[in-house]
Formats: sequence, C-alpha cells, structure tokens
Amino acid sequence: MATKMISLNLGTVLGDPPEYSTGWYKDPITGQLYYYDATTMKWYIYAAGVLQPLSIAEQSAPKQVNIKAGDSLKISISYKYAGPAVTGVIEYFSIGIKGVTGYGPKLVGQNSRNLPICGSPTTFTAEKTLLIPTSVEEDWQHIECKVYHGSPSVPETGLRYINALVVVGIEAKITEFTIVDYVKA
Amino acid sequence: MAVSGKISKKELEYDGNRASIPTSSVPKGKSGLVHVWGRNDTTEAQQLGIAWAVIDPDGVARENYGAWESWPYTGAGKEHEFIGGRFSLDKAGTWRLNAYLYMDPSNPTIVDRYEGTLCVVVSAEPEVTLFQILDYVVT
Repeated sequence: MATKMISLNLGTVLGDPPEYSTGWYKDPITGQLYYYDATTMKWYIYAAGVLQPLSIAEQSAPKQVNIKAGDSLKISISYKYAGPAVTGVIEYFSIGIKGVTGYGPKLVGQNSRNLPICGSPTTFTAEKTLLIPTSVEEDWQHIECKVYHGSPSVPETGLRYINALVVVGIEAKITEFTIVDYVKA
Repeated sequence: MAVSGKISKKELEYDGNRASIPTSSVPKGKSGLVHVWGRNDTTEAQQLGIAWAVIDPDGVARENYGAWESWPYTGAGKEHEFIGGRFSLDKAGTWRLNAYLYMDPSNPTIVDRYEGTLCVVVSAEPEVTLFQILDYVVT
C-alpha cells in the first residue's frame, strides 16, 4: 500500500485548486489514513480495517476572497445525482469557523429542490448569495457546502474549503476593559 | 420468395412487471427478460427467426439470443412471440436492445429491426458524486 502525505498549505493563497490522485493519504499530524477516489472525487476514512465514506471532504481553498460587512458572497456548487426522484433535497451553503471541536457555521443559506429520476449520474448546479452581516468576525474564514435530506433521503455529501475567506474592514475594538488595581505610588 | 414482416411488439419483463420497450425507471437489481413479437406480413405461413443482443450501460453484451420458430409456423398476418433468457439489470444507466426479425431460414433475410433503448435502470438509493464548489465571489 503506497501512502502519501496530505499537504495542506493552510493560510497560503493558492493559485490552483489542490488536485489529488486516487490513492492512500495520511494526515501528517494525526496519522489518520484516508483514501481518495479521484473518479468520484470522494474521500474515505480508514478505521478498524474498514473504509467509510467521508461525507464532508475538507480541502485547502483554491483562492482567498476578501469579505466585509455588507458584502454579498455568491457561492456556486455542482454535483452529480443518480437514483430515484427525490423531493425536498436541501442544498446548503455556509461560512463559518473551525476550532478544536470542528467546523461551526456562522452564516447559512439553503435551497430546497426536487431531483428527477436519473438513470445515470446527472449534473446539477446551484448557487446562493449570502449577505455578510455587521456581526462578522475575523475567524469566519471557511466555506462549507453540502446536499442532504429529501424523500427518499439523499446521503449527506459536501465539501469544505479551508481559509477561503479573509474578513477585512473590522473596526478595532476593546473588550473586557477593567481597572486592574489602584494603589498609592 | 418475397418476405415481409414487422417487429410488432416488444416488452421487458422484470420481476413480475411487464412494460413496453423502451422502458423507463426500472429499479436496479431486477432480473430482466425480453419478449419480442414478430408478425408475418406475407400471404402465406412463414418460419420467423429472431436475433437480439442486450447491451448494458458499459457496452457489454449481457444476453445474445437467437432462434427460429419451430413448426407449425406463423400464418399470414399472425404473430409469434420470442422469449429470451434472464439477465440481471445490475447497472444503472441506459441499456440497449439490438433486435432483428428474420424470415426464410434457407436464405435468412432481415425483414425488420429495432436498435434502440431497452430500458433505463435507476439506482434504488439516491447517490451523489462529484460534489464541487465551483466558485465563490463577492458580487
């Protein structure tokens, strides 16, 4: 088994989207093994001898976009669908933060749509415009999009771009101001 | 001898269901069976023959069937039903049927043909692949 190291240039503006070839990859920090199928662009996590699909894949963003309060951020997605007709599929778009507990959405938009019966993988596209609120924080740097839900239920499938956004124009502010002490000098 | 005939009807049977060919929305995993009727358009009894291939979405022939009907042969204006063998509809996508109706086994002549969609097989479970974020821009 040939294992490759995942190379994530976090915090770096990349010229092109990262392209992975089919094969095994190892997270250099955690040692976790992953398998990538380039044909379907799906990631799998290897645990206890079993490959499980990774419903939300995570990648370095191919570019960084500056955003500020009042901006409208338009996000476009595409995916291929095959299967029976589905009603009420949710196309989910979000920007958010990433901490020790994982990704946390801060601004969410979604579409609901019906998918027709598709005998072979058929491409669908969607877009959503998110209005950046005045409460935007510096760490709203990431984008996560996915499709899920519906009847019959579509398995959650999506993608997260890390460091896709740079929040600019946030005014300097002072918080937690206290007088620490006062003594006779 | 002038021969003339038509493929007058064709049906796909899958797990107890019957539908005209081309058939849409066949659930993946069913067992398929092709029925083709040939009609004798001449003024006297004819021995009808058939040949067909069932081709899956990857272009693989999954059933090759051929037969001449046995005596008594098909009378003028009458039909004869040919029934093939079973095959598994185990791939989602468009399946094709190439069928040829013959007469005169001493000098086999194609009198009619159908080269087209057999059915569209769909996955029983929804499946999403190739999910991409195409772009994100400030507008």
